[in-house]
Amino acid sequence: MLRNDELLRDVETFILDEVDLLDSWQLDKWQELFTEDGRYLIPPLNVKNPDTIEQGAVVFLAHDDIRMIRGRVERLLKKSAYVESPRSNVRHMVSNVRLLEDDGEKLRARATFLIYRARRGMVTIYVGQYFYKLIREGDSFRIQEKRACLDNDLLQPQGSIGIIL
Amino acid sequence: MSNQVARHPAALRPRRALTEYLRIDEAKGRFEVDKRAFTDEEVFRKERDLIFSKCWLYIGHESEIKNPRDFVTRKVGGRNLIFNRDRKGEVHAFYNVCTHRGSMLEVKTSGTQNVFTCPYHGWVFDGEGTLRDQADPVGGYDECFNEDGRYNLNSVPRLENYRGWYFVNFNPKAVDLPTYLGGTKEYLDLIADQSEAGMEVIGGSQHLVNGGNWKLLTDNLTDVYHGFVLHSTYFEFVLSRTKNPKTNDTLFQGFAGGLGNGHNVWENSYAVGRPIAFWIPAFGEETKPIIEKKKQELVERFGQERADRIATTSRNLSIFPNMVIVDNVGISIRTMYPETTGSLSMNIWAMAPADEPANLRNVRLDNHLTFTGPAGFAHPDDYEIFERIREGSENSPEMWFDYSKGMSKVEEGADFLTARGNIFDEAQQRAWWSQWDRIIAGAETLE
Repeated sequence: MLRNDELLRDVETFILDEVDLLDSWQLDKWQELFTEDGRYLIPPLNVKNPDTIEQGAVVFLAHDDIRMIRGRVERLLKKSAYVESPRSNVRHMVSNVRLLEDDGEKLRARATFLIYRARRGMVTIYVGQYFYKLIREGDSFRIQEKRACLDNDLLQPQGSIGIIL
Repeated sequence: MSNQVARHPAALRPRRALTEYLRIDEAKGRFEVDKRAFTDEEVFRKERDLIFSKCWLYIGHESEIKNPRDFVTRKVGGRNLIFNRDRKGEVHAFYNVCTHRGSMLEVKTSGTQNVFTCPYHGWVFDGEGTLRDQADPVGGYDECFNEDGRYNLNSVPRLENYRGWYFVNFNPKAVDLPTYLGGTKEYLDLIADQSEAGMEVIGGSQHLVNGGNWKLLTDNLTDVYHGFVLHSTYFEFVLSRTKNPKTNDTLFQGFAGGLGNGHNVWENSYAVGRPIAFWIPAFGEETKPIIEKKKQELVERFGQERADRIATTSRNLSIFPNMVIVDNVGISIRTMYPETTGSLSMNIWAMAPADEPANLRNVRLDNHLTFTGPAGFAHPDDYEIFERIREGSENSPEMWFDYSKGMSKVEEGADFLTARGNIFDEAQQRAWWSQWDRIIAGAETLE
């Protein structure tokens, strides 16, 4: 764990700005935060080391390279992506932001998330930890990897992850 | 009238509904299922007693308990079971319950261990199910207490496997597994034959609950018709990625139909890329020699024709009542069970050749999760629809779900259980529902 309150505030602001784009469904802007080698990952549920595990021995829930990230956004913005058409009420809450590593160019951070999705009287809660690999760019960052590790041990009540975590 | 006779020749074997839930009108080319089959408590109870207590149900694959002392726990047909390999290598399926006071014995989902110990009074059972210890320092039990094995773990009445896929049956008098599987064995072979090293289930299985009746999934997973409509966003993504000039409804060519006993299949002869063993540029240049070598091995083992079928065609196999194997770009196995009339529980496992190189494995898994995953580009829309179906039909007055597509095109002499039709038609679903109807009516006991 790193102690650097100024950097921590910058990282926290960046993450809050990022999830604001998800809540306000500005997905085109959200995808632009990723680097060309950027990845958006959701490891499987119930694994011991979700923050480091790689696909191969296990199958992920989401394993997006930049093409897949763009494809996911393009799909979700269509009216024919029925799981979010019409849109659900979604709110991302982020707290417990921690700096893990910083080599001057790249840094790693961790945060806790709680995501609320309401749809036709049904509520889904996604809870877990984000692990970010960020790269400094100007006075902000770009995302090289966003990994959403779920604490849920079963996907319910709809069984899907139709939104972006 | 003469027109209708021509479309429905008298040579067709008589086909009629046995329960009130099925309605068949040959003259009008209609095959319908009462929505109460999806909503009634009475049907839910009949399914529990006649289907989930009488049919062979998939419990797991041999690769999940590869080594002695390996186990997994899972719920099959509403029963909590332990599926394990004992220290001698023998495979078992036990009820996951301590024979002393009924506590669930093992709560971990998988592991490797010599014994199963109940934390309540310390009763210990070995991998063969034998009661080994009762934490009883004062000799409170009579010496002949368990002489007859009365307190050993209870095995499920029947456990059999076909080429590594293990099934259980809660009816001791059930027909044997190979007889039950019948026409599906040909398709299981097409998967099992893909690697001499064997096939394996990959970790990180997906388990989910959805607010729809379980039969919406058995319907949905065998249904090509909805694919290019509901999943247009998925196919648009795939076509843009492969720069394929085709439209999504040309990606399927082939047949769908019944295999007897309610089992059914669709086979797509439109060649999509397959890590076994049909290379396309989207897989990456570096995988080309590996895939071509794999194809050559298949030709040497099985000859050109069968090697081509394994390598280039894809298929969706539905084993009655609740197991579906998709052998497409990736392979996935699913089971689905009712929790209530309006809620289902599904497991999804990915499968691959045990000796597959890492880069090919990734291509396979990425494809698997892009379509079928709960966070993929297709299935979330299905789950949304299942809930809309529940919401739409549960309180509506009379409603019949329609499965008539292709009714007038089935070949002469076929009955619903084995009839084949176009891949976009619904012969495969009629095969499934015909068996459901026979079993719910009590006309088919599977003994």
